[in-house]
Amino acid sequence: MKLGWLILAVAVGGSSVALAGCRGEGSTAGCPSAEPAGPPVDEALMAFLSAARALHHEADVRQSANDTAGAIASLERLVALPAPTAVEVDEVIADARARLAELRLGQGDVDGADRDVHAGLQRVKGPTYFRGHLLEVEGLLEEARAGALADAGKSEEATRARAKAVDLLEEAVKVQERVIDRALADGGKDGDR
Amino acid sequence: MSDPRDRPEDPLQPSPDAPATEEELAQSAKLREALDDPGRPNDDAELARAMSSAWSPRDLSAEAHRTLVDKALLHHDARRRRNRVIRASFGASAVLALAAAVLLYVRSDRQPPETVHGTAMAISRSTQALFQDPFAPSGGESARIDRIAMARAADLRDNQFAKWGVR
Repeated sequence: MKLGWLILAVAVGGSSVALAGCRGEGSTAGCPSAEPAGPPVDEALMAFLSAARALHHEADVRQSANDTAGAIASLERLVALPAPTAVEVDEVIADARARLAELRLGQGDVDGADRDVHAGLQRVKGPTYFRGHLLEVEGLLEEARAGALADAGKSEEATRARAKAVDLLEEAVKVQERVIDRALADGGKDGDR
Repeated sequence: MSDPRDRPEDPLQPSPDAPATEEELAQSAKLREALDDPGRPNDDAELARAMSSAWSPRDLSAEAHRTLVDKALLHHDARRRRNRVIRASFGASAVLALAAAVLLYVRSDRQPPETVHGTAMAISRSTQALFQDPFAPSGGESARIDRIAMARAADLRDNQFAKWGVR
């Protein structure tokens, strides 16, 4: 009977060791969700990317004409585009959300910026520059919030927001470091195109 | 043939009439005890018993029977312990094999690339590898989408050529 328990314990331990490779903080390479392999690149994906590219450039043109509201409208169209299920789509939308958040923050719309950041973070869960960038924007957002709270005389809330900003910026740095480590380990695979 | 008793006495051989030595006394005591108690290991006692049984077989005494059974069970217990060790080894091997299978399953969860005319198709995947450095705190989004769109346009072109079989 004792032997049976021992074997069961070793079985559970062995399986845990097998799965532990996917749970490490340093890298998720080799895990099912780390490098999702989707369908072949097709016209639907390309059409989305093309539209997204056009809308980003449209936002550039409007921003350069100091039309921030127009730039925001272009990017809102981008994040609402019908899109196929693909990693590229998630990353492009996450990046557009980060840009939207920055623009809204410039307009003083902290809550709107917060919504965009969180919507973007839902799209990119793994360690990528896209996620790192979103965390960085969220950190800047909290920094702006802390400033506004301090100006309003809410010193305790301002202190909390400042601490949150530091945590988020630190988290952003950690994500970026993990991305760099993985990129160095991969030897720049797929980066030639 | 001459009688050995007529031969002159060998000074190197002990006389049969000489008194028993201490060693001989001790050995005879051991033999006596072994004959009385079949549980005591003694080759001479075993031989004596075997010869006696061959000459006039009789039922085993209860004590001798118990001794034989105990000896047999002793071997059986040793074999059971060996068997337990073997079973544990097989169990541990099975567990390791299970862990390896789980690992293989987890690692082989990625789908193999789709192929057309024997050529692997470019698949949808993260664009992370297109970027060498962390993004600037502000700006650069249009440059990034340019790069992504161009890279995937090249992939789409390759896939079209693969479908047409011209690559």
